[in-house]
Amino acid sequence: MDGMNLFDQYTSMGREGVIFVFRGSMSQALLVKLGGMIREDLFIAPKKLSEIRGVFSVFVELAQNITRYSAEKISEPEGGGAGGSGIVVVSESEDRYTVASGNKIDNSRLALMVERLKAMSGLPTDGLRKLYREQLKQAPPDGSVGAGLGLYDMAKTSGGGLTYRVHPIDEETSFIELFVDIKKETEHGQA
Amino acid sequence: MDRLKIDGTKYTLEIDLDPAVGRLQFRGESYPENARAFFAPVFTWLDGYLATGPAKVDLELSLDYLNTSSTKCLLDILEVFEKFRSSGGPVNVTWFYAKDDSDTLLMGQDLSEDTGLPIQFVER
Repeated sequence: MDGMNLFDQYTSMGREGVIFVFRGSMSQALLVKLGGMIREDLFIAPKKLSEIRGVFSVFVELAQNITRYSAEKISEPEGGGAGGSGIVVVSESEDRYTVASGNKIDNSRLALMVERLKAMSGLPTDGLRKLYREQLKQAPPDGSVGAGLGLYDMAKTSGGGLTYRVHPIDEETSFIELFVDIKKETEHGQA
Repeated sequence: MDRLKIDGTKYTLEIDLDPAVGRLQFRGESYPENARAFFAPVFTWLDGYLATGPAKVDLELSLDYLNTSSTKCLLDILEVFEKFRSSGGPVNVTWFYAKDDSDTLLMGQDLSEDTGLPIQFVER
């Protein structure tokens, strides 16, 4: 137990408004369970359908990104299929929820993601919606070129509140953090 | 043409494609790991069915949440029907959405506009 200070972690997470954390091996079977829990149990009344949907859908896209694209693969995830290691955090502040993820990623894939993230930065909400619809039409049948659609969808859902941070690890790998804000509806935020 | 029935799960749609009455129903939520693989039998079935020249097709969609790769599959399904319709095929599309669920209504409206397929929206 040396080095693990739960008090410090508890305190700093409290400061950040953290209400959910998962760190470890993500798989489809697990994200279905965690997603259900987030959607059904994490929200305190009055529940707003669009906020719950926003947090849930961003959680699913981020968790599926980890299962598909984490550079730390899990060989035999629960329920079969792909699996990868990462962290997912949901936090709440007065005016928003933030769903965040972090995982190791191959630098070649990272370059593609960063290119897309840069293309979206600063776009207004209707521009992001238009971009998502264009990308949806243009996407190849398998719908997944380097987490493309998911990024556009999350940027649209957050109305421009998607940010990221990259920590270089070595020549092949980096760690990417994605933060996706879901704004609260006004009367709820001021409650 | 055999009827295609797929039971729904927490993260895959309930699908009932009944050629006898021309009623094709999709219901529930979809966020499987591999949406394309899940919908593959649906595309195959639709190709076969629409090629038989059905007299009347009612497509009923009652969807709650789709991840991005499932949304892409749905767009492709609607494009199949738009192709059928624009070559004279008789198809009615109804999109059911839960009361107050403006997100799902908007998704349907966007998909209708993006594919050119007319959709009737009904609150359920």
